[in-house]
This record gives sequence, C-alpha cells and structure tokens, in this order.
Amino acid sequence: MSFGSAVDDLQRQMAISDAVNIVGLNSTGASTVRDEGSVLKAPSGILSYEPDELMISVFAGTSISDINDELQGAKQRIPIPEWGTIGGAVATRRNGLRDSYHQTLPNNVLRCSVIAADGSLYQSGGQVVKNVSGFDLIKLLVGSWGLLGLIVEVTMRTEPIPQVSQWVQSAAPTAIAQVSDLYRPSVVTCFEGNMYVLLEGHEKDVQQQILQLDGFSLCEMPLTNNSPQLTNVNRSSQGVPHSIERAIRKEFDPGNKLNKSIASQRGLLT
Amino acid sequence: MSIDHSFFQLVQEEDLNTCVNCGLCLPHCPTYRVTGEDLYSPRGRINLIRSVKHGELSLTKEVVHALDTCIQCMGCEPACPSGVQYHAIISPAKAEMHSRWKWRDITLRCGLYVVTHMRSLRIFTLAVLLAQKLKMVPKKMPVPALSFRQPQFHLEDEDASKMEVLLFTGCVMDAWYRKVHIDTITLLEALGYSVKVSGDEYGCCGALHEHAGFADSAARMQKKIQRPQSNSMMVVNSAGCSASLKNTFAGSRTVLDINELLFRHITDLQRLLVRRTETVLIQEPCHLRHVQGISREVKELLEIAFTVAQLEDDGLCCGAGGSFSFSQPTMAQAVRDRKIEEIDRVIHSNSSKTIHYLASANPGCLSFLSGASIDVEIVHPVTLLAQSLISQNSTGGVQ
Amino acid sequence: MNFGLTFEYSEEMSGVVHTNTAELFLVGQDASNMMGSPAGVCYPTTTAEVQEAVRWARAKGMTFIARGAGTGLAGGAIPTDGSLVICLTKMNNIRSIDVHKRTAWVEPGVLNADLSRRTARDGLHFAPDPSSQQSCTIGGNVANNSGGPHCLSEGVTSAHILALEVVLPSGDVCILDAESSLFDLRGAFIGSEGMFGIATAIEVRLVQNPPHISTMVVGFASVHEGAMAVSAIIAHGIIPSALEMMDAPITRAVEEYVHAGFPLDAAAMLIVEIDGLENSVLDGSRAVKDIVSRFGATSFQVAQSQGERALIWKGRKTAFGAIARIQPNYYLHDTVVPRKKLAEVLSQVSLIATEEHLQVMNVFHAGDGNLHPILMFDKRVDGVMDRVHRAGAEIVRVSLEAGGVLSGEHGIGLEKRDFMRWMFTENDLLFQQKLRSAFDPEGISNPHKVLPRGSGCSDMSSIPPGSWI
Repeated sequence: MSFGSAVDDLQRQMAISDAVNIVGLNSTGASTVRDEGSVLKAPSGILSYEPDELMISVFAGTSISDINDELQGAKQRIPIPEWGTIGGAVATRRNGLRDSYHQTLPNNVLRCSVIAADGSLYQSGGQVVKNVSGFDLIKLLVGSWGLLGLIVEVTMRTEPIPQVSQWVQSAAPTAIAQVSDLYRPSVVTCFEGNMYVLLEGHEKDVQQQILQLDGFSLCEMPLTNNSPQLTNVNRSSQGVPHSIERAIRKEFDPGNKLNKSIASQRGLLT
Repeated sequence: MSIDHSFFQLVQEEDLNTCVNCGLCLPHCPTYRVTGEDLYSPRGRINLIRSVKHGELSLTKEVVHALDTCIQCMGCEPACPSGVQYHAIISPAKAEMHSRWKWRDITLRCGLYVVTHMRSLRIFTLAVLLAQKLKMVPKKMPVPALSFRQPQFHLEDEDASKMEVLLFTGCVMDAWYRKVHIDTITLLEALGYSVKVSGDEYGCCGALHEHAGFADSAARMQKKIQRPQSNSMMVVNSAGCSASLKNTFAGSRTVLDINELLFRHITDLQRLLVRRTETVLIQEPCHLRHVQGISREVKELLEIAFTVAQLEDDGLCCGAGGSFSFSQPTMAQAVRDRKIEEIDRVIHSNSSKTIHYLASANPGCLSFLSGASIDVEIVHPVTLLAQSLISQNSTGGVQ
Repeated sequence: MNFGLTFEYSEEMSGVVHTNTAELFLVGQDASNMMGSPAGVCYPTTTAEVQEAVRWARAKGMTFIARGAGTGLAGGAIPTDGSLVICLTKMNNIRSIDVHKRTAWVEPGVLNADLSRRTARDGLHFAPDPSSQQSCTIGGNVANNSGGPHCLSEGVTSAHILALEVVLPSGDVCILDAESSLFDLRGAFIGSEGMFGIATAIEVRLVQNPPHISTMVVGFASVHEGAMAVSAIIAHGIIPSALEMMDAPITRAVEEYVHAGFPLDAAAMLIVEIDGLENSVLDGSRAVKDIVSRFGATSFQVAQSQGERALIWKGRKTAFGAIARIQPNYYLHDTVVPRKKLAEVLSQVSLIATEEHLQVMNVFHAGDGNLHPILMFDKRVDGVMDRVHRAGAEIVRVSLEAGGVLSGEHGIGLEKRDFMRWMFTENDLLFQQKLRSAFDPEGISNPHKVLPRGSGCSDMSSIPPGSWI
C-alpha cells in the first residue's frame, strides 16, 4: 500500500537518520525534551470518511479538532479531548476524562500504519469494526510514546453524538454511592474534592438520571490539566514485564533510534 | 498393540455422525464438570466409541474407564443442538462391554440381583435394618433409615365409577420408601382415583440393570410386567423407573410419572392443598428432567403449597445414577460433592429464605444425597404434597 | 484427580503428565476438523503447577500448548508435533468478585456463562458472549479475543480484561496490567492465541445488566433487503446491543430444535436487540421498526418476556450445532466485511457455494459485518473436501476484496495462517513476529499458529492431518 509521497519521504528520512524525534503539534509538552537528530512529523489530512460505516481514516498528524469538525456534519465524533493530533493521542494513550476503565482509545483504533525505525512501513488492524486477524500491534502502539515507530495513519471508529451530554458535580459524601447506582455514566471523575459525572444519551433519560441524583448540580466540563506527561505515567520500570518491553524495543528499534530521551527515561534504551 | 476391529458394531454410524464435536455438551456432563478432562465428556466418549469402532483406536483401559464412568444421566441430550441421540450410542456400547466380560462385574451383578428380587431384598433390608439398630452401618451408606414396622397399604374399596390407576411399586422403592407409595395413594385417592398396587407380582422394572448395561437381566425383569391396557393407567413415582417403563412399553401413553399425572390435576390440587410457610429446594432427577422432559411440572406443583427455590446448575446429575454410586464410587462422590456445593450455595445465599426441604422424585437421588451431610430434610415431592392435603385424615391410608 | 487408573507416567512429572493414547487422541482435537499430535497432557490446578509444566517442557526440549474447553473453530488449540498439552480446565475457581468495583479475578478454566450466572444476583455480567459461552473458558476468550453478538455495543474481550497473571514461555510468572509496564502488554497478550504464554488468572470487568431490553425478530423477503436494513440501522446512528442475521435454511434448522417462533417463511431474519435506559430503548426500537419496514420487513415480533428473549438467543447461539440435522459435517467460516458490502458479499458467497455444489447457510453478526457462512457437507463423499477447501479460500478472497479482514472472532490458528499473506505484507508479518519473539524468543508456546509458513515469520512447520490448508 502507499500513502503517497509525503509518507515515502518520511520513510526515506527515517531510514537514513541515526536519531529521530517524533513530534506532533507539541500541544501536550510531551515532546519538549529534544535530542540531537532529525525531527519527524506525520502528515495531516483526512484520507477517507464513511459516516454510514462509523469509521474515519486520517493521517496521524491531523488535529483532533479538525477530525471532529469533519465528523460534525454527520452528527458523529471521536470522544477524546480536542488537543493535539490523533497520532499524539494514540501514542500517549490520551483517553481524557473518559476513565481508563472505558479505554476509549485502544478499543476504538481500528488500524494503524507505522513507519518503523528501519524506514519500512508496517500496518496492523483493518478498516472494519471487528478484527482478530493476527497479533494485536494496535494495543501495543497505543501508549507506546513513539518508541515503536512513527504512526502515520490511524483509522478510528466514530460514534453518533448523543442527543444530550450533561456534566453534573457534587461534593456530597453520598455522591459516590449515588453514582455507583447510575446506569453506565460516560465519565466519572474526582477533581479537587468534587465528583464530576458526565451523563449522555436520550434527553429524557438524562433528565431522569439527574432527578434521581441528590445534591448534584449542573456544571461545565471540569478543566483539569490531565495532559499526558511521561513523568506522570505511573508505570513500572522493572520486573518481568519490563524485560518484555525491553525485548520488544530491541526487536522494533534495535539501533535505539526513536525518541531516545523518552526511551532512556523509561529504561528502554537497549 | 493389535487393534480389534470388532467392537461397537451395534452402535449406528448415523448416530455417531450427528456429533460435530462442538463441545456444547461439556458443561452439562457431570463427570466432565468434576474432572475437566475430555476423556470424561460426552463428546470425548462419542469420539472414543467412533474411533474404536473404526479401528483407529484400541479399546484400552482408559477407554473402558471413560465409558464405565458415564452416569448416563443424559444431561447432554437436551443440551445438544445437533440432536445427538447419546443414549443410542452409550447404551449398546456399555451393554457390549458387559456381555463380553461377564466376570468383570460379578459383584455388581450379585448386588443388583439382591436388591431387585423381592425375597432377597427383604432379607437384605432386614439385615441392614438390624445393622442400623446396632449402629453398625456407616452413616454414609446410601440407605435411608429403615423401620421394623413397614407401613401397610390401606386401599379404598374398588369403585367402578372411579378411574382406576395401577401404582407401580417396584423393588427398592417399595422396600425402603413405602411411605412415598402411601403418600402417592393418598394423593391419588384425594383426586378421585381408585388405586391398585403392582406389588411383588411385577417386581422390579429392570431399570437398574439396563442402566448398568446388563441388558439380558433387564429383559428378564421386563417380561414379568404386563403392558398397561389403553383404558388404564400405570403410575410410577420413581423417576428412574418411570423412564425405564416408558421405554419398555414404548408408544404406550398410559405409563405416567406421578408428577406428570398430578400436573394434569393442578387446578384440583390448588383447591385441595393448604398453603405452607416452608421453602423447598428442588433437586431434579436426571431421568425426570433430561430423559422425560419433566421439569416445570414439579416446580409448579410444589409452588401450590410451598415457596420454591431452584438450583442454578441446569439440572446437573447428583451422581447416584442407579447403581453408579456402587460401581464408580470415586466419581459418584466427586459429582455429589459438586451437587452439595451447589445446594449449599443456595442454602447459604443471602437472597434466599431458609430452605426446609430438598425434594427429589427419585429413590436413587434420595438415598445417595442422604449419604452426604446436608442440613435439610430430603424428601420425595409427593410426600410434601400429601402432607399438605387439607383433608388428609379423611382420605384414609395414612397412619 | 486420579480415578483409580494407572497412567503411563513419565519419570519427572510422575502421575502428572498423561500419555495414554485415548487421552492424547481427545486432546489432539478441538471443535475444528483438525487432528493434532500431542506428546502428553497435564491438568495443573495452580499457577505454580502451570509454571512447573512449562519449565518441564522447556527442559525436555518440548513445545507446549494451553487448552481450555476445546471449542475453538480455527484449530488454535490443535497441538502440533509433540507438544505438551497444558489443559487448564481444572483451574476453574472464581477467586474473587468485587461487586463495588465491578471486577472479578477468575482462573482461566472458568466457563464464560458460569461467571455471569454467579454475578447475576448482583445485576452484573461479563459482556463477551461468544455463541459457545456455555462451554468455552474465559482463558480461551482471552487467547482468542473472543467476540459474540453483544460485542457490537460492548466491545470484544480485550475491552473487558483489566489484568492478567501469565506464565511466560521462559517459565517466569508476572502480572500484566495498566501499571506493570509502559507498553500495554496486557492488550498485546489478549488475542495472541496462546503463543505468548499462558494466562493463569484473569481480572475481568463486570458490566451492569441493562435496565431495559427490547429484542426484535424481523423477517425479510430477501437476504439483500435484510443486509441493507442492517446498514441503514447503523447509519441512522443507532448502535443496537446486538444485530444478528440468519438466513432461511439455518432459521428452519434452528426452529426445529428451539421452537422460538422464528419466521419460517422469511428469506432472512434479523435479531435486533436494543438495551439501556428506558427512553433510548423506546426511541431506538421505534426507529428500528421504521427502518426495517422501509426495507420491506415481512414480519416484526418483539420478545414479550425474559423467557421469550432467552429462547431467541438460545436459537441464535446454538445455530451451528443444529446444522448436523442437515449434513454431518460443516465448515464454519469467519470473515469481516464493511457493513455496506454485506449484501454484495453474501450473494458472492452463495455463488461460490453453488459453483462447488455445496450447501451454504448464514448466521452471523451483521451489525459488525462479521460473516459466518457455513458450508455443509458429508466428508465421506469422495472429493468433497477439495471443494470445501476451494470454496473456503474463495470466501476469504471475496471478503478481502470487499475491504474486509480474515477473522472477526474465531482467530487465525492453523486454519487461516496461510491466508495471512493475503491481508498483510511480509513487513506487517515481520513486526507481528517481532512481538511474538519478545514474549517467546524460542517459539515454544503453541508453535505453528497464526503466522504463515514458508517465511522467516513462521515456526518450523509440520501440518497436522485433516487440517484445512
């Protein structure tokens, strides 16, 4: 398959570089620590959008707000925060406030095309909503911080925009118990001592749910600074799983070419 | 090892072919449930029989053991979407093994002879009874507590205006569970039937032999029983026996399990029974649920008088299986342990009320479960229903 | 548990590894049509025993393969050249259920339906519901990243697994979860078809049972109209919890067994289920009714009770087995195509079957575009297998040409490994192999599966007799 000359050029640059820093719109600050070497950025633009299939394919450098603008017309969305690029969101597993429980990102990325450290292109997944063909490289790529290649294309599942989306908040001690009785709220999060809940769906259902809650008030989306920082990623850098990670890195980037500083912070220089 | 091509020729190719190896039967097989081994599953057994028949596999001791440990509860049959007639595969296979190696099961044969011939059964029962009184019988022996005073039948006088029904009294059921017969008569008479009993003339129905694979003895037993006339009914209160008799008199619609007959009179019973406060947990005998397809009948009958609780194990076998608990005690007890775990889970779950009775409509289950430690009284559902009759005393027959 | 049999013991794992022909014969098979060649089978009951078995196999220079209930259809559980079969069915304890966090730790041998049955009182269930859910194990679900009708709205297994305790091919044990590493090794492990190691404990998410459910059975005069209606429902912005299609021959076969009241005169029927809060269910079902009538629905029934709903699903989920009522053997395919291509691909499938003189039936997850054409045959007929193979390959080809993929939920196993090149480039496969190598550098865990033969990607290969490719 080919994604045109922009991607061909990136492949060539990747192949000849000794060190590569992958960047997006630098909206999260995740890529501020820079090393020597070339700076590569995925192209942007929408490749295909089929509203009836609930699916969109884009270059990874496309900003999420641009994607949502495109989806708006068909009353669809991708439910992740509108910062930076889709490639950046995938690479840093940025689910936003939709808690990790829902795992919005890993479960909604259907296909990824990646330029590997050697400049070759590899792909995982497909343009269908259900797929168990081969090993799941997508799960590995989501949250891989550019250490396994430069993601150039992403196919995402889209979803219909719900009739109503309403945030409510409460600081009451009974809030937790009440929220656990709710039927599958979209987001439940605690921030500065307040509990925030996002209720989405049919207008009447959301109204009924709000009536059912006691001591909650309507509010806007809480402005939390949850932009992904590698230093905030509370994950182990030791033990058996870490040795598997190192082995994966060694297989995917044997020359330690990609995002060196991130790799070194995570003990993934091999 | 040389492969004997002459085994299982009586098993029909068509029956074997219906199995597509999908495995949907697995959880419905009690021996697979307790072992987790394919060897002890319906799919596995069918596969083994097929391959031995085709000469691809020799009849090793493991194959023999796999077949011997089938309880023949037939839980797999209703679970099978392909409609595999498992009984048509396992029964001839088992019968063939028994007829080839007659000496192998000599103890079981003798045991079965004793408990299914009325004279020897009475002597044996007396011996057990004495032993029980002398406290020499291990508590776990699956025989109910016996009494010197065997309750007697008090039948109403014949009344030509009433529909006549013959109660099949059988062997073990009569010697050890006479009380259930008397309760059955009480109920039937309350419903306006004129009841006769089959008694020693018919003796045993041969279900135990058939089930154990002794087709020859079973046939001998069955010969003594007369085919019921189309204008009379034979009613049976042991699920194993009713299943077997229905098979013996295939096509006859006049052999009925007691639950089936009572269910026909459910509106009368709603009038005749008092509402009670206790809760009954139902243990469904395999030969009732899986073989005869009688399940909701028992529940709805008991619901007239009681609160009913049910097990959540899809009617998995309790391990009794006729003589199975004698011939394969290790497997039988493992299966029973699992059943008891299920029973305990219901008894101790927060959401259900106190369970007062465990009801099972088969003497095999009743006695085998009595051998385990369960905190509730184990009874035949007929007994519970008879005890709930409003006019119990006026119907006679009960001491 | 030893039931008084004397097994032929190996020295070190005395009494643990069974090597008798009868058992090996049985664990050499699953629900596919293939026959493997295991060297031994053991039934560990603890993680430590699994670890011991893996280490023992390593020391012996043997490969090993994990086995659950053996209900897989792609031959993923078929042991190749003398593997040690590590059967996990005795590890069947639900270790803990946390009703408040809505999670549970289970052992791999726990049956899918048993878990939901146990949590039903608390209003919770385990969402993945493959049609074999009454028999299949959760360990098997993890290995295959299993789907099921309700994965349309709930997502597949990987969306419902929070953590795994795994025994790696090295013999090490570790937990794979959100905290254990930067890369999502948990996610990578799910769907690895037993080739990355053995899951010995699984933390699953439990989801709330929906307060309202509407289950509709809709008949259509043609498969084409039914398929168009499927596309239209999704395009309308309705995500049903399940959207299934059955064609006329399978509907008749199933109806004979379950008596669910399926429309026998229809050329195709849809099962559409919508669940959730009251008004969304009401509005959604109303919209579905409008859409299907636009596409010429010939009948429309709504389940009136839990009992009726259960019967509909029993009919749907036992459909494959009911095929034996028509022909003794079947080959059940599993490909995915874009929804808008459903009608087109279905008619191509029917042509392929006609050309090869085979009967075909369709029962599938239409909402996902996940096709399950079933070719029916009697393998005793001379030359039939060749025709079945050819038709199977053709179905894969037309699905891929329509922009689809090889498998939606059954996995690749042995069945489709040699089709992998039809979908992936050598480089795509190379990177899949790299991931495998990181978990299993020596390729000893369930060798020969998934990756195609004859390249640097595959394990050294020998193909079991009776296999499809």
